[in-house]
Amino acid sequence: MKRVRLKILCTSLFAVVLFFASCKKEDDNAKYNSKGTYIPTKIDPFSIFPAELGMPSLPSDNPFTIEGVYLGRMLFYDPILSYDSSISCASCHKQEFAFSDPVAFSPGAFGLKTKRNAPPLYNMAYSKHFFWDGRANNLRDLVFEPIQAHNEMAMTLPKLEGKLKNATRYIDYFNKAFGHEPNLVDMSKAIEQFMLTIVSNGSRFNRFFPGDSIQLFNMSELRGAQVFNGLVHFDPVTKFTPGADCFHCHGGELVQQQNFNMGGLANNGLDDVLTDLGYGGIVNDPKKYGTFKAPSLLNIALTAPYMHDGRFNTLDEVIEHYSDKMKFNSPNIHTLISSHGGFQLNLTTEQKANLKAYLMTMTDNKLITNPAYSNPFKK
Amino acid sequence: MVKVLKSVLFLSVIAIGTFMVSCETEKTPVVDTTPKNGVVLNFVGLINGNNLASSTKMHGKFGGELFSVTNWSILVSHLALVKENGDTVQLGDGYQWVNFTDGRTTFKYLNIPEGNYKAISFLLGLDSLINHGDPNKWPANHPLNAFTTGLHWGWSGGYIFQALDGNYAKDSVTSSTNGFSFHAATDQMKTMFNLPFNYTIDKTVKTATIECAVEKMFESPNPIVLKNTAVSHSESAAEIILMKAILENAKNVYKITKVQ
Repeated sequence: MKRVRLKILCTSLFAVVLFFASCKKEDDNAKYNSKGTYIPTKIDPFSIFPAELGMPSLPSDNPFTIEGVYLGRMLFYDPILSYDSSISCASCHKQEFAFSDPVAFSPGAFGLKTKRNAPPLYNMAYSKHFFWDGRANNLRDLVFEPIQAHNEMAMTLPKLEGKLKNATRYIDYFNKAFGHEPNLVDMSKAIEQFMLTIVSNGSRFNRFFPGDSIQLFNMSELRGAQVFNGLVHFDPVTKFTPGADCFHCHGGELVQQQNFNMGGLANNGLDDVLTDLGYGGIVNDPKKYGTFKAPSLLNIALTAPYMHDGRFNTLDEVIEHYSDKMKFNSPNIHTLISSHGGFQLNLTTEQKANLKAYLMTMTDNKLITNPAYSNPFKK
Repeated sequence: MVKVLKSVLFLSVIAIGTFMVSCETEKTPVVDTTPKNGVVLNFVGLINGNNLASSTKMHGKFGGELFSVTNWSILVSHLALVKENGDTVQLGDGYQWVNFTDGRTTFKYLNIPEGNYKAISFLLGLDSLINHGDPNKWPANHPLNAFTTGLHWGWSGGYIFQALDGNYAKDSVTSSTNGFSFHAATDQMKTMFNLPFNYTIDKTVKTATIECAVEKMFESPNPIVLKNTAVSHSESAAEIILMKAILENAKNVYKITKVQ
C-alpha cells in the first residue's frame, strides 16, 4: 500500500514538474529557443525616443532589435546596394552634415547626378511623408527608390538580392535579425529600423524649447526667436514687421510642421515660373504644383545648400529670399505667404542677424558624433 | 521487471497527457462583434453646397467675393450626446479632430446608454489645463497629439482650435488671388456648440449627418470681407475681435440634416 502511495506521489510530482517545465516562457535573455533558432534582442522604443518628443507611431510588424538595427546600419553604409558597388546611402547622407550632402546634386552611379538636393535624415519616426515631394509614406518603401534610380544606385532588385545572398558578411546577420537568409523585404525592414532610430533632440534649441529657459540664449538669439515665432504684422505706415512667421511651416520641437495642410507642404515663392512640380506632380493636382515638404530646420547650419534644388548656399541667402525676394506670383504660393498682401517682409539687418543666430542654436552635435549612427565598417 | 516497465509506461502516459493538456493553444473565444447602441457622426464639409474636400474652383460668398478653402480643421472636446433631461453622455474620451480637407470626418461610437437624446454638443477648443499641457504626452494618432494634427503653436499659446485657410480673388476681373488665414487659438476662443438632434439610442447604429457649410463662417451676424480682413491668428486686439466675430458666425455653420 505504501509503495502504491509512493508511486502516486512520485507520478504527481513528476507531472507537476513537467507541467511547469513545458509551459515555462522562453527566457527573454536566451539567444536561442528550444528549436535552436536565434532570438534577436528587443529594444525598448522608450530607450530610443526622448520623452520630450513623445512616442511616435511605429510599424507594428517591425519591432526594434539590436540585430535588426545593426544590420540596417551596415546596409546603410554598404555600397553593395548600388550596381557597381560605388554608392551607399551614406554617400549622399553624411553623418557629419546631419545626414545630408554639402552639394546641390549628389553624384550617383556612372557619374550621373540626383535631380534634387539630398535631404537630411533624422526624426523620421515622426514623419508620415518622405522625399521633397512627399511621395513615400514609409521608410521601407522609400529605400527601394534610390536603390533603383538610374542616377543614384542604378541597381536592379534581382541583382541586389543575389549580391546580398552571396555576401558572406550578411548571411549570419540576416539570420540573427530575421531568421532567414538575406532577402529584399528584410533588407528594407532592417534599414527602416536603423533610420527610425536616428533621433535629433540634443541642440541648445531643444533645451530652450518651449521657451521657458531663456538663460540658455544670448540676447541676439532671443530676439531671433521673436522674429522666427512672431506673426507678420506690418506697421501701416512704415511696413515694418516684428515677426517673420517662420513657425507655421517650421514650428514645434521638430521645427517642422507635419500636417501637409497646416504648412507641412508649401510653395515658398521661389519661382514665378515653376521648374519642378513637386508634390503636385505626384498627385497630379495642378493646385499643388510647385509644393514641397517643409523641412525641419534642426541642424540647418549643417545642411547647406538649401531648398529642394540646393539653390542657396548660405543661410544668409535663405533669409534674404524670405525677407526680400519672395515671388508672390508663383503658382500656388502658400496662403500664409500670400496673405501678406504682396508686401515683402523687408527685415532689418539686425533682424536678419538675430534670426540667423537663432537658427544656429539648432545644431545637434550629438547627432553628428553619435557612434550608434556611424559607419560600422570603420573601426 | 514487468512492474518497473509498467510504472515507467504509466508515468510516461501521465506525463505526455499532462504536457498535451497544459500546452494546448488557447482557443480564441467567439466575440460578438455586432455593433450596438451606437452612433456615427459624419461631418460633411461643404462649400456652397459642394463637397469641400474635392472642390477645386472658386466659390461666391456673401458680399460677392470669390474664395476657395485649402485647409479647414477643428479640434473639439467634451463631444457628447445630450439627454432629454440635459445630462450628457460623453462620446469616447470627448476629444476629436475633424479635418475637413483630408476627409477625417467620420467617427463611430458604440455602447452608448439606451434612451432618447435631444442634441449633440461639443466645445470648439480645450479646457485651459489641457490646452496648456504637454502636447507630446498624447499617443500618436490621438486628436491632441501635436505632431499628428499640426494644431499646436509649440509654445505657451497652446492649441489652434480651428484653422481655416484659403484664397480669395483680388478682384472679379483677373484670376489673381491673395491668401486668407484664420486660426482660432487661446482660451478665450473656446466656443460651445449645441446641435439639436432627436435620436433614440437602441441596439442599432445610425448615422447622424452634420452638414458644415464653411461659407457661413463669413456671413451672419458678422459679415467678413476678406479683402479688408484676411488674417487673424487670435493675437492682437483687432485679430481677437475678428476671430470672435467669425466664431459667432460659426454657430450657423453646423447643422444636423438627417439621421438614418
